[in-house]
Amino acid sequence: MKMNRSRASFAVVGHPNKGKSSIVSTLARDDSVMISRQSGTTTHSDHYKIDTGNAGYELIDTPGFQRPKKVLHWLNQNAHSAAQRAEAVRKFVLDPICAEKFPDEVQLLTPLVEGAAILYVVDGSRPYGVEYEAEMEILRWTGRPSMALINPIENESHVESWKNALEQFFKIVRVFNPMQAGFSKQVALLEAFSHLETRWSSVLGQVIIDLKSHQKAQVVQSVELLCGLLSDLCYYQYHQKALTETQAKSLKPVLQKKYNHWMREREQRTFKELCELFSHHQCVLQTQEFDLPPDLFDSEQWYAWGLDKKQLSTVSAMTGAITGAALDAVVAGHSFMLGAIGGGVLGFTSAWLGADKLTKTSVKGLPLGGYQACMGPMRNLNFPYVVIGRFLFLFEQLKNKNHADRSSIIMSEEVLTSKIEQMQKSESKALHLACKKLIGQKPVEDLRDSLMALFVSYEND
Amino acid sequence: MSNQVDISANKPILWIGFFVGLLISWGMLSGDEQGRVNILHLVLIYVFLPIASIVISTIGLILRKGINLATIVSLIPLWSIQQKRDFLKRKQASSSKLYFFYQSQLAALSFSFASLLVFFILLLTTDVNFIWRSTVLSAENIYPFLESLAKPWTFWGLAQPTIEMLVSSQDSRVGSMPVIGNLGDWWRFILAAQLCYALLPRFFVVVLCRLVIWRKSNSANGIQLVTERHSAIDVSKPMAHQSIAHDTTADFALNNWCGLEPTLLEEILKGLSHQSISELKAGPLASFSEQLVAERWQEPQLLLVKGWEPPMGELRDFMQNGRGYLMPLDWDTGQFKSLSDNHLAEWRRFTQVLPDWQILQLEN
Repeated sequence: MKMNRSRASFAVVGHPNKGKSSIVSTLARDDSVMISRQSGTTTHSDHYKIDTGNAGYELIDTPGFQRPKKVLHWLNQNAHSAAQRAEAVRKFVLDPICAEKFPDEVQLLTPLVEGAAILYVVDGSRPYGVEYEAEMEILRWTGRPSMALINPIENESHVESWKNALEQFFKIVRVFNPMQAGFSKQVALLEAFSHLETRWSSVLGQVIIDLKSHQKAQVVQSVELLCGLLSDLCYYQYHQKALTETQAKSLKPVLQKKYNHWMREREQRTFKELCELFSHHQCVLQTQEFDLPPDLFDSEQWYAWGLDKKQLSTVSAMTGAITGAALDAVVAGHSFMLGAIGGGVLGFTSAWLGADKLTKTSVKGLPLGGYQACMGPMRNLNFPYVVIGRFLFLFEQLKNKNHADRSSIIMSEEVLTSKIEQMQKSESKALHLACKKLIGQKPVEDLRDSLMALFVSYEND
Repeated sequence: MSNQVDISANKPILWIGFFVGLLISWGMLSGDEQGRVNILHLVLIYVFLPIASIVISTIGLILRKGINLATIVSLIPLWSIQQKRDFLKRKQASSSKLYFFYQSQLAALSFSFASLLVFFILLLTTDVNFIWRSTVLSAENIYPFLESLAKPWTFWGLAQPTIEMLVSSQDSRVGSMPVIGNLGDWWRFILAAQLCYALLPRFFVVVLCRLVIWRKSNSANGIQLVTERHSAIDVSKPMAHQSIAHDTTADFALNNWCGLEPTLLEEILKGLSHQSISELKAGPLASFSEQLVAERWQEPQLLLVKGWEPPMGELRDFMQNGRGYLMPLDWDTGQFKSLSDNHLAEWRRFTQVLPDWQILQLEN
């Protein structure tokens, strides 16, 4: 496959099992990149095109060197001067015998021959060895711009000796731990990439701008997710109709089970969406269920024809008013709208007062009214804070979790008190009011802004 | 993703738009007992009302809280608990204004479809007589206005109003005036007005709104990773359970592949029951001729390698020609360290396909 030369392209090369895939995963900010603990299992190069919206670049995860000494020997036999070296590498890649004898090296050198820059990865926790020099020499022969990344897999005890050695072979040497490197370090690395090849500097500059704005957008989208979650959890109500009040009350355990199940599922769905938002598609969450207050059941609500008392009264008032208005029209307005007003009042009053009798009335055996067993909605003022706390905990974990890190997240609740104290008084008051409205089943138009203030105080922490 | 606007139509709002359109059009177009329908009323319903509603809802979307038909409909207290919850949630979303605006436009579109449906049914099944009445306006006053309204469809001559048609269709409730022309001729004008001022602008606004939603959704997508995978990483390979030797059973040739320093080398040899009868040199540190000698060696050898390094092809090639013990080692600053389980497992997996070799690990 021929790659697009105008696209910034980096082949991540090196010894097997030195964290090449981890580096690709972290830089691509996506955990879909496969990471294997076994060496030599990748036999072909994997191309990862990272599209940031307005720009993009390509990372190529390659198989590790397997026979560098023999390959260097072959190259030496096929190039008699420095001027022939790059051509010898090209010849090596295209030679079918070499492809059979040195499949890994052919795979890893092909992207370089096609124009990719080199990202050479070594393990800084282990001592430098001269056996690495053959592969560094081969890479030098390609003539491609190159950078060495020292990945301190276990510790940093040998980073200095590696630096000293690598600086003789590579233009830029950086220490980069794909498991721990934060966003600023990732951006710094991309900035270093842009120095490798000047024609890629503008596109990589745009990538950095995109990444920064994407990070801000992630916060906004997270707030949006939390808004949806809070609304759903606070407004949710599970209800079932019953003929008698006793029947309605007997439904409590079933309703409670279904209500709790729905609430948990809803929260899990949002957590999953949050993981997806941060491109942690494979992230395993170990969650603890939240405790729901016991006083959520109610069987007193009345219904008839699917309408509650308020709705029935409204319909009756409207019907009465329309009928009265028709009468007003018949007398050509001489009634001074008394028909409409009187009809409305009469309709409303009769529905309000007579509604309860409807529950006992039936037409051809079909009851006109009954009881409704309800679970929810949430009335506990503390509940929105619990939801926010759990969500913020996961948000913080995901924000700081590198994509090479495949460990599971053990969920906990974030203690919000200190965070809320850090907010401005007006902001914390707005948040409190928003939570109050939520449990009061009222729309909260400034919920997003209130939550954003909390997220911002979190960011500044 | 959460900030993506739902583009599916809210069916109750859509049906409300349809039924209102059906009722109003039926009420307006069925006329009186003689089938007389006031053209000016139709102009009001099919021209002014749609334009005004587009303008109001667009201004509402841009400037204010987003007042439109859907927002008003959502306030009706007759909705079910589920529907109420849905509206509450939508009002809180960042895209609420756009969502309700979009639903309003869809409802208005269904209003227009319902109006057209009623219009066609009545044209087919009854004789609709289009007339106009006014206390202060004459045909000469109205004609320029109707003519300018009909400007967008000048290509359709039969749908253009004429002064003669206007004069002949003027009506008065006091006694019926003589009918000069065919009062039904106005239907083309009314149809064109509906298409031009109600249906098409609304359709355009709906398409525009969807475009905005599509762009908004796209901009929210952020980083996308496109993968071209060629390899199949098989992580499910069974781990080898080859036994590990703790001592040698015969003399051997020592092959210091990893270049272990002499003091550490001595330490190893001390821990073995048998001794090294010869020294071989192969691997990255060996010269070409040393490598050749080592490759031709057929007697048992003790091959020392760096345990933390993954086994490589070069080593495999070499081992395929010989036999003996493979000893992965771990050391740092002149001191041996115990080999980690992960590294040992990796070496055991490696020797699984090399039956003439056994892993050697000293017990202490």
